[in-house]
Amino acid sequence: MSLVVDVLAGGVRGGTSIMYAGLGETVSERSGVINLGTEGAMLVGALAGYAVTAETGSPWIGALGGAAAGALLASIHALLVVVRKANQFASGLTLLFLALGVTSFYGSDYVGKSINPFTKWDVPGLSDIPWIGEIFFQNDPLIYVSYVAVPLIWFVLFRTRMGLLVRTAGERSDSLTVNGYSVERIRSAAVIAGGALSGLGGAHLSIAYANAWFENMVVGRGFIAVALVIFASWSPLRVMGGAYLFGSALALAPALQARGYGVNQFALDVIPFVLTLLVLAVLGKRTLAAAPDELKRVFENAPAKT
Amino acid sequence: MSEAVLDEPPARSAELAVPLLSVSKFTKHFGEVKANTDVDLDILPGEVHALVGENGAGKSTLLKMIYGVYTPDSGRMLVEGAEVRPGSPADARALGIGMVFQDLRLVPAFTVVENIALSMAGGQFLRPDALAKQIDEASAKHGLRVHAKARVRHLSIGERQRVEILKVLMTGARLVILDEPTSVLAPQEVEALFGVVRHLRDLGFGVVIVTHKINEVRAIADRVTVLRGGRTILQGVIPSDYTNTELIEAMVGRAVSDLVADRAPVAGAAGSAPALELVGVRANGDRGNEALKGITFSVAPGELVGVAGVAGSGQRELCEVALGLRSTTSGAVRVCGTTTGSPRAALKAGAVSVPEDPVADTVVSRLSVLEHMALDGRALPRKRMGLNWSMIRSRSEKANSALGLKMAPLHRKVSELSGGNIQRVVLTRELSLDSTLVVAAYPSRGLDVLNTRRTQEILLEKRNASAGILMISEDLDELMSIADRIVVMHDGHVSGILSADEFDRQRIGELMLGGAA
Repeated sequence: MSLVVDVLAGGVRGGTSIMYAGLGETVSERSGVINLGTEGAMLVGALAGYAVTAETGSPWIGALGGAAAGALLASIHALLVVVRKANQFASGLTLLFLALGVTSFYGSDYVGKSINPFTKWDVPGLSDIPWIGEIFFQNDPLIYVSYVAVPLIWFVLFRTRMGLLVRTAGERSDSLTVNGYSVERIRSAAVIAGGALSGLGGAHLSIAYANAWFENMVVGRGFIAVALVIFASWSPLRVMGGAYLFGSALALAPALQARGYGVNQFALDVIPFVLTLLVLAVLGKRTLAAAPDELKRVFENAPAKT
Repeated sequence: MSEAVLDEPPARSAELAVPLLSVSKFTKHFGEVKANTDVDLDILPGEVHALVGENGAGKSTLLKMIYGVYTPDSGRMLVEGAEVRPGSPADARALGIGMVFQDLRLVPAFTVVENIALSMAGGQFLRPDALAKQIDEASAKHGLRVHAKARVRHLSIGERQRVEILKVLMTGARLVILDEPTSVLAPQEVEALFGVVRHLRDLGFGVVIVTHKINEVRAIADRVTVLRGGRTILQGVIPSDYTNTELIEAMVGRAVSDLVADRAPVAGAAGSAPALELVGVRANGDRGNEALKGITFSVAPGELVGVAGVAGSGQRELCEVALGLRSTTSGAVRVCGTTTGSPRAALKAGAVSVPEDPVADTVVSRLSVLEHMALDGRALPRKRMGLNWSMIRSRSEKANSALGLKMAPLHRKVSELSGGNIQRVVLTRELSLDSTLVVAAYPSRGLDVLNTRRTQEILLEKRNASAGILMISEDLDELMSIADRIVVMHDGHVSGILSADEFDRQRIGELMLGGAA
């Protein structure tokens, strides 16, 4: 039984960075922009979060630094694809490789450097509940922030005017134009906000989960987040569930090894990706029905109506 | 600026109503193009005002100036007696002017509530339930049945139009402008729309309805304004004071008599194989859905068969299957007795086509008109190593003068031409060829009254020369005046086939909606 609890608790801890990135990608894609550079935004977020924490001594300021770095990278994407109308796939991937190079170069000073990271804090009362307490309420503060962030993002998207405008940008941007709004401004804001969330996800990885910085430490979580958004059919609540599922897949290897099972490390490492492939194969193009219309145009490479 | 003074014509000042909208001497020139010159229009509260004119008459420029999209070069605009100058659609809306565009601008994935929230002022937070209640109240008051919580993608075009109108009313419009609202509707839906329009008129709203159909002017309009060549030809006259001939003459500039097809059997056509024969044809649409669900009918040589149906009922796929452009999943397609499965085979059997969307399907925008005329599917005339351009040129000129559609000059690039001009290039090329089968989808799309007439005459000439004609049209009057038979499609099925003596708008309309009476 404790294996299950360990895996699920590990799922929450390891899945939170994916969840933040998935939420960021959801916001971006809801406005009609795919950002394949999410992995890159997580990387710069992880390094900036770590460096700022190291310099200031405060992981809270570090988390803000991570979000800011992710937003900065995403603003390049917004400039290229929203303002300059460049190809979304090319821009996103290029930014990923840019982030990989930049973080490797500037991050070398921080490899092995120790910081004052976020520490585990038990929520009084709740943390004692069997199972639930161990899984959800013996965690670091950024995880508690995510419990608020998910319903908050849902609320903003579906119950506020701002969210309605973002979704309209993703569904039918000319409806914004006729109502006197700027599509470019709304999409740019959504892409940058999405980048900030991805950067925060990266910061969670370096200053709350691994408590270390090393080169390419995100290793594919950003891409899992992009895939996750599709099978969560662009719903923040389902992104949360999906992120925990992938987090649990990631947590399976250490949990088994801790119990002395001699399972091949490499086989365990590919579990999240095999899981992704399986979900993609099962769902096929079914989720596409829920996709924002403007996003489908990007998929189908059709020119947007002017 | 114009120093023009608005002087009310005496006939209307007697009505004692201040016009909701009054436009005087609006002028807008785009370089050489005089889109509007001294255009006048006034709309009273509680009236339905038809705005009619040929393509390029300046209707849409006028509407765009009223709606704040364009700024007039000169002229004045008054709303309820006060001079205004809307600089954007938002300004126009604030003045109580609402516009329902021809291509409806609703977001299909959103609910009716969300769509209406998008254009209503309000706080940062959406209150779906409160707004739904407001929508229900407004829809009861204005006689517009709308289900507030429904997703727009599940609504019919007619329902979507009602949502658009309701949206415009809820944002405070006193004047509702409907831009060619009937062009997307089935006849029954047109009647429902007109019911709504009459109700709005009785509530004191001003309604402008843009159309080019005289029978709609007669059915709904209290007054009519006719534009031609960017000028007001008739301003705010009462339709019953004018005959159809006079109204068409005002639109076109000269008299156009009614076209009457004689429908006489074509000698020598009997006994030969059908020009087009479809037996139990099934085919999938672009999105993998089944678009044709067992189509069986044939077109005899010397017969013009019209296809009626609400847009998207399978007409496009029907044409493509007939021409071998789309593969069937089952059933047989024969052109003149030979089974065709490829465009090449269909061409060889003598098929020509006017596609639904020539810009997307036929023309290459960077090529000239002459180069398009060369690409007619026949072997190109050669001259030593190259092509015999002088021969292509002379046969193009011959085709142009034979058909009389006044095609654009041969050296012009197609990318510089308007939709109507491109349509004339395609029509001239395809209809000048010797053919046994003509598949024409919306052949008069983008054409004005005169060219529409000429195109119909050409199709009848081809019919009388023993070709089989399959003609898709959204204009029932057009089909009923020239077709020998009408095939009605609904949702990928043939819901009825009527011969000329059975033609009846009501019946065809019912069949278009699936046959339910």
